[in-house]
Amino acid sequence: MQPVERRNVAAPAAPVPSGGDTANGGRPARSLAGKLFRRTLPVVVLVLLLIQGGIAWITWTDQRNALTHRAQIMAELTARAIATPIWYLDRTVFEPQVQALATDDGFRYARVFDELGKVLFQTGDAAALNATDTIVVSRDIVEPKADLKVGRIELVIGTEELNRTAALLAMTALLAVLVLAAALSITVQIVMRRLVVKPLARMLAAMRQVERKSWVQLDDVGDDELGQAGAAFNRMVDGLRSGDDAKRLLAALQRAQSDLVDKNQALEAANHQVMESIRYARRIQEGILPDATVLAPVMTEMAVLWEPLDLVGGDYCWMERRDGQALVLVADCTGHGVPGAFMTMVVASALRRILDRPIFPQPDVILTELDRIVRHRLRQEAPDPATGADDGRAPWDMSDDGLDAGVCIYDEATGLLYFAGAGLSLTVIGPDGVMSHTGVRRSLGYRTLPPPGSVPVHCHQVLPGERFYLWTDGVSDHVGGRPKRVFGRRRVAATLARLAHLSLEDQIQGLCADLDRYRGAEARRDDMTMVAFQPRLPDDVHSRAGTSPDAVTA
Amino acid sequence: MTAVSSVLFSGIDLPATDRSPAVRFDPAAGALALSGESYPEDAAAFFGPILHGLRAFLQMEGPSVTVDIALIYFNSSSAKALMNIFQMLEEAAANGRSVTVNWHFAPDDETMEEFGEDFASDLDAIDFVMCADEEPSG
Repeated sequence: MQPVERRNVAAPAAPVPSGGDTANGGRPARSLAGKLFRRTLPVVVLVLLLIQGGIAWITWTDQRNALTHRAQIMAELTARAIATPIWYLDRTVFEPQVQALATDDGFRYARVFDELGKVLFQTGDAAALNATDTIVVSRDIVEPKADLKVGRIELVIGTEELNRTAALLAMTALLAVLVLAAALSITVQIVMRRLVVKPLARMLAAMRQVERKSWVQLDDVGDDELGQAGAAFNRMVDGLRSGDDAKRLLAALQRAQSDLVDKNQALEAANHQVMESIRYARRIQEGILPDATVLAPVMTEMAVLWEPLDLVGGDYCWMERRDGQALVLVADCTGHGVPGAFMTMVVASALRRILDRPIFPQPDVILTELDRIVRHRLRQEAPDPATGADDGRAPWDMSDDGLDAGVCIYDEATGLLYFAGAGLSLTVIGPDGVMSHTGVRRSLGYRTLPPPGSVPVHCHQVLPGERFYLWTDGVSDHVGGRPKRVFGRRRVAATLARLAHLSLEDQIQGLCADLDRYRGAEARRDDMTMVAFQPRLPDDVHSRAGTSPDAVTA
Repeated sequence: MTAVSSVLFSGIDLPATDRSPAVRFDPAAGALALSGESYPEDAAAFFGPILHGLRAFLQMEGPSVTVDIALIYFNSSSAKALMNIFQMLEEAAANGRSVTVNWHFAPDDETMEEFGEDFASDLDAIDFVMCADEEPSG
């Protein structure tokens, strides 16, 4: 989740640089304030006009009524003043009275009729009678004592003043309306801009940023409807962002997963290739192992366990029969896996050279020769084993490899078994129990170790029922138990003795099962090889070969 | 700072793994301790820095040296490396440095006991002590 960018989005100041966005982007074609103004102003103006017009109309009517009333009073007063018996006979009675009317500002015209309707006197402008801007009132002249109509007076008052006032009023009203409308328009614009347009513009700008997946949020949204809309917008942005985050997370996850699958496949392919290569190597290594049946004529029984830790390994064994002698060799080279297998090749070729002569050398000679050839072959004859090579490399940076080995040579004629071991021992299990011929605590080869020197040869007279076991330390070095420790040679020998009633093959199988049990969940540590054999005693050999003991060369 | 002088300065403190022992080398105290199992795929690569550091340490004047080995299993390459360590110590001891090697093993672990005896038989100047502990691997 990226942090929410909370900032004040500026009003449309920053134009959006997106090309085909003119319909939505930039300034609106018709502003909201303008629209509102155009919609409301005619109504406001009309209402104002109606109100002002009404006021003007009422005022005008009122004043006209007042004027009429005044004219009636003036006519009434004049009528009364002149209403004397046979008033019409004396012009001096009514003339000055009617003339006096003319002093009124609004006076336009007045005339007096007798009872027969004949005009006795008139003053002012007679045309005013038919003018429109006038009020005409008439009053009967009544003789008060007899209550008799004796004539009539007619008075015409002008209303120009009134009309002028009314027109002025109307003009003022119109002006007021215009001023009000203008004020309203400005107020609406300002208020709209502040309350609506600006927040809307902010939201719009924010929306455009959100369109480009920049997750901005509006701050200090108000509490009005726009504020609610702003809050809703923020929630929507949150939702969009988390949706987008989830989508991106998912995409990244999918990418990572497909990467992983690819890598896994590459790894699998590489592993497959390596395993294929090692399986091939195993076929080759198996090729340098002996055919155990070559010793079948000499052995009552024989079993071979060759179990590298990683398909190939550093364990090696060899069997050969020549000139009445049977040779059994077991070697444990440094390392296991491929390096170990390389070492077995070196050892095998060295052994070939040693055995490439008419009769087998003595077992101790075989071992010392192996030591010499391996050192030579791996160029371990450094100037000084302690200080290292000429090029300054320390001894442990150069090949410092070798092997432990044990060799048995069984003489078929005498039933004597000769054994020499360097780092390996020979275990014998017979009716009398377990015994072993311990090899020297030396290894063969190794730049940093001195040559083994003289290796003693053990000579063993084989007794009936005796079986011989030669094994590499991978057999006894199974780590297990609690506290953890290695199984050990003694326990291997004890297990074999316990299983002595079985065939050699079954005995070894039983031992392996025991070792597996002991190891439990622990992994095997090393290659393991065991060669077990029970030689035929000379009598058997002779009877089978049909030759006399004397015929066998010692 | 070269690798060797860094070893001399701060020593070595490696935790045990499935295939390699715990290693503690304290140059100031003159103490080296190995415990656990040792069958690294490339023993030369694992023991190389230890051997380099120890050699540099032994070339300088310094305190007496105490080495504690409490292994329950090691392969032949590791045995070679141990041999190299002991030969270096033997040389230092022959030159007058006081060197003690305590070889720890469980009383019923004849394999490790025999290895200890094996090593001891080749070493004269070193004070090689066989320690039949109840619980060597800790």
